[in-house]
Amino acid sequence: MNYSYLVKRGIQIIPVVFGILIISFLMIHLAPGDAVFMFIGESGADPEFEAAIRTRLGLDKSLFEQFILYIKGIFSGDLGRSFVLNEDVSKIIFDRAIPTIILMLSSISFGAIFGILIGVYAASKPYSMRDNISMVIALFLYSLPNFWLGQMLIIVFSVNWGLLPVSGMESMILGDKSFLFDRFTHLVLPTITLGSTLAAFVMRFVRSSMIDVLGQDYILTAKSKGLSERKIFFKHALKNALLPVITYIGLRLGYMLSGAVVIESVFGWPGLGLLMLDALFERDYPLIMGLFIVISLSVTIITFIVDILYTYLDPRIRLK
Amino acid sequence: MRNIIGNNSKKLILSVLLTFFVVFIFTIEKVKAAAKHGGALIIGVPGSQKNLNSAIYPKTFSGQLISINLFDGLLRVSKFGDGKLTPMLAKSWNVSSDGKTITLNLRDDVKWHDGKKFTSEDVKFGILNICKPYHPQGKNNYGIIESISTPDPYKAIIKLSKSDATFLTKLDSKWCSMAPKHILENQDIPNSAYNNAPIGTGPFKFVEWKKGSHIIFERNKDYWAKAANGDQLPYLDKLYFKILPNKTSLISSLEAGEIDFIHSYPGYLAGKEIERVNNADNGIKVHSFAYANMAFDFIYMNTNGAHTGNKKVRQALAHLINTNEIIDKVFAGVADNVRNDKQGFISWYTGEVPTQYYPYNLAKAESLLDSAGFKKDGNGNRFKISIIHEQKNSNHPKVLDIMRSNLKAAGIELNVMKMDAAAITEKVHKKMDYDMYITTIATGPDPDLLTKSWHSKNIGKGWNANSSGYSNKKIDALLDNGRGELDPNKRKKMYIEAHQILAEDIPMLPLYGTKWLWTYNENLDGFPIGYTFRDGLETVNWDGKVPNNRK
Repeated sequence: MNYSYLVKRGIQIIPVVFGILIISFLMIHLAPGDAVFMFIGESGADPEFEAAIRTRLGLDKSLFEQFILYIKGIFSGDLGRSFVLNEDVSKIIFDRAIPTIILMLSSISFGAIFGILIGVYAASKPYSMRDNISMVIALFLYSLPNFWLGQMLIIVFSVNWGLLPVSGMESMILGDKSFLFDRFTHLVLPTITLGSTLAAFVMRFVRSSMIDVLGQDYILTAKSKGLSERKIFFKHALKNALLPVITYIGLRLGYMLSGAVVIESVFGWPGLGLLMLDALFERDYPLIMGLFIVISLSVTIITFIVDILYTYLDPRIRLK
Repeated sequence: MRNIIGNNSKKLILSVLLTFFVVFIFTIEKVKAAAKHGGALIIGVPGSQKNLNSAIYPKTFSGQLISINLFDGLLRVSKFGDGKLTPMLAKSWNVSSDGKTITLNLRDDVKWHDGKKFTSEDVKFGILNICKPYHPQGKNNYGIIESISTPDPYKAIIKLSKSDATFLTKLDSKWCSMAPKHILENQDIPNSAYNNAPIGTGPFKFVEWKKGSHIIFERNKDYWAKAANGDQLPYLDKLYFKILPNKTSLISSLEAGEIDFIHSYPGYLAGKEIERVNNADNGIKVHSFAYANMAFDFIYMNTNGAHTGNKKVRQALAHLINTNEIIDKVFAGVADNVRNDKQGFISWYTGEVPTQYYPYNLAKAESLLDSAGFKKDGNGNRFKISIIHEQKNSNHPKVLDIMRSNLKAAGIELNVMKMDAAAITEKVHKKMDYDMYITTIATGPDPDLLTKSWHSKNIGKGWNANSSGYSNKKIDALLDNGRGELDPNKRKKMYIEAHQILAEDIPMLPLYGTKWLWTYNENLDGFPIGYTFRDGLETVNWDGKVPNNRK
């Protein structure tokens, strides 16, 4: 493995995150709306109260001063304190990251497994009926808006059939259900909704990648050596065809996180997406900034890891 | 002899039977009473909460609805807007003839959730050190307090610098919930961890708050209040507030029977949505109660605007909006028309209707616009005007669609602008750089509450303040005097006069009254609660029919 490449690639993360930091800081402060007014709430306040709140939140300083203070805070590991939730931003984000991570992992697993299975099945007989049907499924899944699919699933499975819960991550009263089963039932619909687009893309990706690999010379060699179709298909072709799929899934993570904002709101899933929506509407600057930093950092780090994984899995690739 | 014995034994048998009967009746009553207790309630709450400390104001409606279960006020403004006060932590009170000295006699059987006694020291601390400095309206409400003395643990004497007819209503838990001195005394109140897990004297105790997911309270077994029939309150063992971030999931949860109850948010459910819930056939129904104080959807008119600055234009706009059409199409008939005979924001208090009101009348509107100098051009157009609405309200876009075509008929082009609350605060309430803004307001329990929206001293002072930029010295004087006047009859006359002027000037145009709709499982008993949506759930119970999944 090329370590200097790793270091170089790692250093690139710093300007990316810093750039995101500056842009998002400016954007949220330039957006119309005053955090102090949002803090005070619907019944309004007298000017002295308002001024006191402004000072307490540090919003009486110039934008530049606020930015410098914020950067200083970050370097000492302090993401600040939420204006409205009255807690440290890092603690809030940590608490709310867990549901999002659970939802992401289950959606990725669902999308990847479902997508690979159908993709491989379609590729096994290109341009046949099964291929065409899989094509229709894929088209259907990625042209559906996520939030609409979510609502429909709720109406069918929860409201009409009463099989699965409408929203949230856990039942308020567990009754005789086991803890794990309860969590599982809450996870099903959001997972399908968030994972469906990924499944559609992976389906098409795996199919074309498989067809591509199956046409390669070494497959012909394997055939001429008398290996069974099954062995060629799964051992020689699939393994190689899945390589680009891994990178692809890694790169989709960013999109999936933005999808999670919508899905979490549809299903009342208490994760980062829902938190971000609330924070944006409340103009909770420290919390919004904290979320931007954590999310952009995790996306860049995941992309970085995927890159490394790729060079590791495919020794032919030597990135410089 | 025999007879005597016989008589005696008859008496004995009779008295034994009588005793049995009394015990039997008593036991049945007991069993019946006990049967009402128990069970849990799952309450759907739209949107997220910020803190649970009612005393420093949880900033959102839903936050107040939840936190109010943990706290009590000193007294309560009674139901149905009759302005009567009922005792809470103060069992009686006395106002001196000049209105400047208020003596509160406190209950001596009230305990904080941690077991400590509630005393007059808590009252003094609560009002002066928490509600006054940390409630956003604190200075406005309690600024006239000169001192609070505590001659004994169950008596507090409040001295005011001037009389104020509304002062006692400000001791309702909506404005000042009692918070414990022994916990908060040396704390940095706004940053205290107490705000997320408060200790109060209320009917329920805090158990857990999982942010973005749910909040759990349990029954306060030592609660001081009893029901009218003598039952110990509260009835329910647990309250679960399930946070549902949007209306669609809230309605779906009601349809699926996952939640038992949602509070009344004026105008939150409308038309088809009410039908959906009522048709779900799971015992959950939408109920409407007639509270005297009303919730309005109304339009702020910028009285300094290019067009709306002209009174005739404001009156013309009022004549152009077809409220009947809005009520039929958007609310499926479930809203009150306040534009005809019941027009006005404080008719519920004054009992009188302003002589000037604005039913739909295109011809009259056109002549008003002509006389204001806004004549039609060659293409039949007069001018363009914009209206802002908040993105969270799902009814307003539909209302504005109708309004757009209403105004078009008179040659006015309506430009609809959707904004979030923060942007509206800045543009409408602070900078007042807008033409019109449609929003919601709940009036009552005192007409003085609307002073905020009409008095010129409140121009540009934030939400529901005077964001029309309306300035009228006569109105200012009437509102100031109305607040200080202790004679109810004289006071009412002042508001009737003010009402008349406001109806002519229309800085705010009421459109329709939204209903107080309470959505709950029909097996529940103990409704309606409180005078508005801000009261606790201590009287609510399953009436002995606790469903299995709520045990």
